[in-house]
Amino acid sequence: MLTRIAILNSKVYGKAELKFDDCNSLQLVGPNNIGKSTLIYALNFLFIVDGSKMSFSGQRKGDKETIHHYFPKHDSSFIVFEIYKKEYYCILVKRNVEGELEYYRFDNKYDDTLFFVTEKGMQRLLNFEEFKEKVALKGINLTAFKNKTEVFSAVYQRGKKNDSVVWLEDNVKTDGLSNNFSKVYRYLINSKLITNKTLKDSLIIADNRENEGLNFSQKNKKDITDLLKINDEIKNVKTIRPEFEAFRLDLHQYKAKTKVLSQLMYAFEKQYESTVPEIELRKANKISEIASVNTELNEVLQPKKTSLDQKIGGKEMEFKFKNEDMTRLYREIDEINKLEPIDFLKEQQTNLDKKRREIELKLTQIEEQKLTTKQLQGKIDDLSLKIKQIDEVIKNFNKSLRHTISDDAESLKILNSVLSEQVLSLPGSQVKKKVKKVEELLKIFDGEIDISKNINQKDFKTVETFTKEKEVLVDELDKLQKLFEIVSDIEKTKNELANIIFSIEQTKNNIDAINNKPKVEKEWADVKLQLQAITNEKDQLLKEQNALQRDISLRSKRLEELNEEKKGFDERIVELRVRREEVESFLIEPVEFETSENLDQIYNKIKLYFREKGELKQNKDRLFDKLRTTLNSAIADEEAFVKYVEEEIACLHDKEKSIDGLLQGISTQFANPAFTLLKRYEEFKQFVYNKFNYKLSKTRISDIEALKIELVDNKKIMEEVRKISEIQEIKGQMMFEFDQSENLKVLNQYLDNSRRVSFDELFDIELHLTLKGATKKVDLSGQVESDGTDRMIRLIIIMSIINYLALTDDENKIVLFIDEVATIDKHNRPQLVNFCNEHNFIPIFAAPDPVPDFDKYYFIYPSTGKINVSEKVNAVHAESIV
Amino acid sequence: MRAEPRTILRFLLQYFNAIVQLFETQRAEGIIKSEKLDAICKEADSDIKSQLIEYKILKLTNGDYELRKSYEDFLSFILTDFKLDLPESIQKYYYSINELFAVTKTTPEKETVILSNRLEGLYDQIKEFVELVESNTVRLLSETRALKANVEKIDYTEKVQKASFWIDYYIVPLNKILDVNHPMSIANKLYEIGNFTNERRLNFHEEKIRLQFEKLYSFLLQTNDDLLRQSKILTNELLPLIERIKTESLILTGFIEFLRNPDAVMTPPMLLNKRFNPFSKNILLNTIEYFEQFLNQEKFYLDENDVEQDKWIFNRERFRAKLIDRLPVPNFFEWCTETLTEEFKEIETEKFFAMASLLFEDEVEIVAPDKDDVKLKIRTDKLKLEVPKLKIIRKDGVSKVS
Repeated sequence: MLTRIAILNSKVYGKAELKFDDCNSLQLVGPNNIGKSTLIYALNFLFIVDGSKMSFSGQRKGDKETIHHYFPKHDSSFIVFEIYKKEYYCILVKRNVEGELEYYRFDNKYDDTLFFVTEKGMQRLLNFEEFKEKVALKGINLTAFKNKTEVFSAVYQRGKKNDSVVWLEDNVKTDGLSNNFSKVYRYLINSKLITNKTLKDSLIIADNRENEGLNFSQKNKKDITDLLKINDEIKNVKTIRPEFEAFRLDLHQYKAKTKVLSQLMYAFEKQYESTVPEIELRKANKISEIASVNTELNEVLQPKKTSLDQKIGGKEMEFKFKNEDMTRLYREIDEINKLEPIDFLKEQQTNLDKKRREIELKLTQIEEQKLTTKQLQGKIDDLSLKIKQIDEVIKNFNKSLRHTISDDAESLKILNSVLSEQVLSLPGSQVKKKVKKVEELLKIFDGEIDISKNINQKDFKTVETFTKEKEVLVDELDKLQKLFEIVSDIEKTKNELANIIFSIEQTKNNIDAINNKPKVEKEWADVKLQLQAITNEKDQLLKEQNALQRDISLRSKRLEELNEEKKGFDERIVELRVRREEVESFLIEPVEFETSENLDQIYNKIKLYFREKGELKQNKDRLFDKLRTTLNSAIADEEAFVKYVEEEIACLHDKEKSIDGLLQGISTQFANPAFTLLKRYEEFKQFVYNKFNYKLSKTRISDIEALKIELVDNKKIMEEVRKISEIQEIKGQMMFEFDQSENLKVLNQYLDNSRRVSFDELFDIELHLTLKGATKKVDLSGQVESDGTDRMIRLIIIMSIINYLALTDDENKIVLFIDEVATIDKHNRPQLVNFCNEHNFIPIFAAPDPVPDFDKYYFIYPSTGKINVSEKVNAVHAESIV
Repeated sequence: MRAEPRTILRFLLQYFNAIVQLFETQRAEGIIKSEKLDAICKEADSDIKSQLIEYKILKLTNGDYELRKSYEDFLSFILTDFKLDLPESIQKYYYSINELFAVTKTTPEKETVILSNRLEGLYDQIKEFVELVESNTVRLLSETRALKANVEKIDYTEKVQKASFWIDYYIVPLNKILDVNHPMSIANKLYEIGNFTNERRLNFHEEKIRLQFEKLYSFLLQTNDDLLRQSKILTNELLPLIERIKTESLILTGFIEFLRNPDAVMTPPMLLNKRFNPFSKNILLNTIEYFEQFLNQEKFYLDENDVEQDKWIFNRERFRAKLIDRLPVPNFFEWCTETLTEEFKEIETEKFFAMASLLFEDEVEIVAPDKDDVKLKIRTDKLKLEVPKLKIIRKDGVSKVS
């Protein structure tokens, strides 16, 4: 048993040493948070070993921080567990530089001197190397544990034939770094962890049933669905057999047709390759012939024809012109014949010429004198006046003095020069005596005047002179009046002149024409002769043209024939090419083949077979699709598909048999564990009722006279599990049955939810207490009695479980920790201590105040530095006097 | 004269190839003809015939040879080359187990020696049965794995045929064994035994037999689980065979090779948690650990005098005794104050409250306070308190005369 625990140089404790072998119970007394729990939780390192399962204050696991809390120094922080099993030995725990725990065993009691040395009047803790040296010097055997498994098996062993810390019952099962004991014991170190669930778990663990349970996974369901899928496939394979046969036949024929087509294709290609060039050659010959005919036509005949045509055209033009000349000449002669006789014409010409000259003269006059109508009018008026005056003069000539004064013309002249106008103008009647002679002296009244000299004899006109003068004036007036007419109508005159000139010209022409007539007549006769010649030439040319035209026609006809033939070849080639393209578009792989058939026959066969193949393809594809849909197959290759279906058909029997076997297997895999779970639950009940309750029944706590645990079945789950256990065989139609059968419904639900039924789901625990002779049922999930009693009952159940797992022996006492002892009713404390003693436990209580009923107390005093707890300074032993 | 066991084992090791050849010959032909044995000896380059006989490895049968069953079983086990047992030979266990159970059940409890023997017999019989089923599974697995890797390239039809055969030979009998709804199934027989054993393991009066029951019971639990696991393994193995999945693949073949010998090649250290992983929440402590290697560790001296001497621990017992001595106390709180003042200069609140808790001691009874009474004023280090005047008397009503 664990006899002592020493914590050396932890974060809180300098040296804390608790001794358990000199007491049946002890209490740690000290204010809150001083580290009472820390001290006790150190038990984790020995009894739990697996860090992940340890539990420290504040639900901490044995993680790195916790390890550093207990072992701040890797070489000088230790926890030493002293164990007594026939002999003393210690298990030392330290941390290494990796932060991992190291375990050592040395075969000696715990002794301060092994760890401390006195230096400067103080106790110095040795480091691990120094400790090793010291231990070696003292001849103490020190061994290291290689791993935690080794530690674990040094702590726990079944039976007594060993020196392990805890001797276990044979029924304890170890599973890696834990066993039933360690799984439950952690609740004794940290009783806060005890809940209804952990109680249930502990009971289950006690009877090794923690791994029992049912597990329904989607995988199970998948197996079933997979099998049902295969089953469906089998059914489908059975139903499609006739269609499959038809498909296979079609496929076969299709392949045969494909083969023949390939052969025909080959033949077609081969023939095509030889036929087309042959046609091409023939076509080429035709083309060259066409070319030569074309050349002759275009380069010889046609130009010839063009030249002839031009010539004929020329002649025609020539004829036309000559003909026109002739017509013109004829008309000319006719015109001449119609003309006046030539003499008449000459006369006419003279007259006209005269008239022309007159007009031209007048016009010249006008132009020379630059006469205007106004001037002419003035002159006419002057002339008329002068004539009038002259008339007047003539008329009055005998009446005036001038003329009557003398009868002599000479004397009148001198008298008119010497007499004044006034005198002269006096009427003739006043002449009393006419002058008969004129002398040089003029005697006038009584005087005389020499008139021989210095007198300008005035021109004196006689009546004759005046008459002559008048005649001249009248003539001039006449001229002027005519001139006036001409001037006043000069345009008319000019036109008249032009007409006259034209008439003159015409007349002259006519005269000329008449003169020219013999010449014209000769000309006409010439032209007539020329026309005849032209007509003859043209006729000759037309004859030539006809001959040429015939030639051209012959050639053209030949050309047409040739083109027709060439077209025929072209069309054949095109036809063959189109056919080739067509058959090539069938995408048939040619296969060597010999045939005597011609290209057209081959082509027709290809067409026919291709159509047939198409129909076959359609049929087989339709069937293929249908079959694949029915079989839900994704195989794209028909051969593979045929092989697949043939195989499936061949396997039908074996598959059906297999599916039956497998489905049966799977149903067994559901039913058997379900059934097993129920069986094991029954067996567990036996354990609780027959074994465990027997232990509990002896317990006296508080005023409880008897205590036993009842398992309350979870009827719902049990019924469901039972239903699953009754599943005998899942048949092909399971999906249908899933809806029909209650059992399969439950299974289906469990499978869908991937349900896990753990053992603790099958029941709940109920406590049956006997109080004053009466039995009272208590649901442990609620509170039992007072808080303290409840805690105690729970503790007692856990202790009973541990007690069931560990051997009862003085050397195998189990240390347990009960924190906050004040919460346990003080009347119950002695009973609890009693129970512990009877059941081989050493309880360690803790509270800020000391409470009675315990054998030993450790007073833990606060300290400014690290806290020390030692037997010498802190332990108080108590002994009951009663 | 019996040979020394180590000598036999050494011999087996030395001529292991020859021994394997003998085993294979026996497996294939059911017998080892003398000519074959000669040939094997010749190949082994040593005449081991006499040793084979001497060590009782071979048995002479009509001039030919045969491996003894123990060796055959041993070799078949270490070579994991098991002979396929017929479903019938498995079914026979029902009868043998049933028979043994019947006699065990009826054995009187006091006949412990007989009971112990029978229990052992029953245990062995069940063990033999389970091992047989297991060896069948092992053999099947080796075959199905080969088939899945399909090294021999056998076609689907043949694969289904094989699967069907195996299902017939392995799963169907196992189904029968595990069928809980069939009263004559081995599973039901095992439950019956389990039930019986459970009762005895809990209550049997004699420890040794009880432990035997315990062992048998655990084994029975194990057995059903094992059989069920076999069934699951077989279903998992055989179901894919009748499915049209291309099970043969390079990867699978490689994986099967790996499973055969997982240590042949070093596997990459994937997801290994490295110490200096900076994502760790322990990085601080890891760093401390790293540097502490280079630090001169400071020496730790124990300071044994460093205790807060004035730390007062309420000695309930002493004060309780003091109070009971003084009963009846007319004014309880006044008494508390007086008592504390006797011992300390000042009344600390903590101490006052501790004293006050003596009110709840079982021996004392509170007399209802007089309504007119003036309240008492008390001053502690931290509080001014106004407390009622409580008279307390001894519970039985008789105060000890002081």
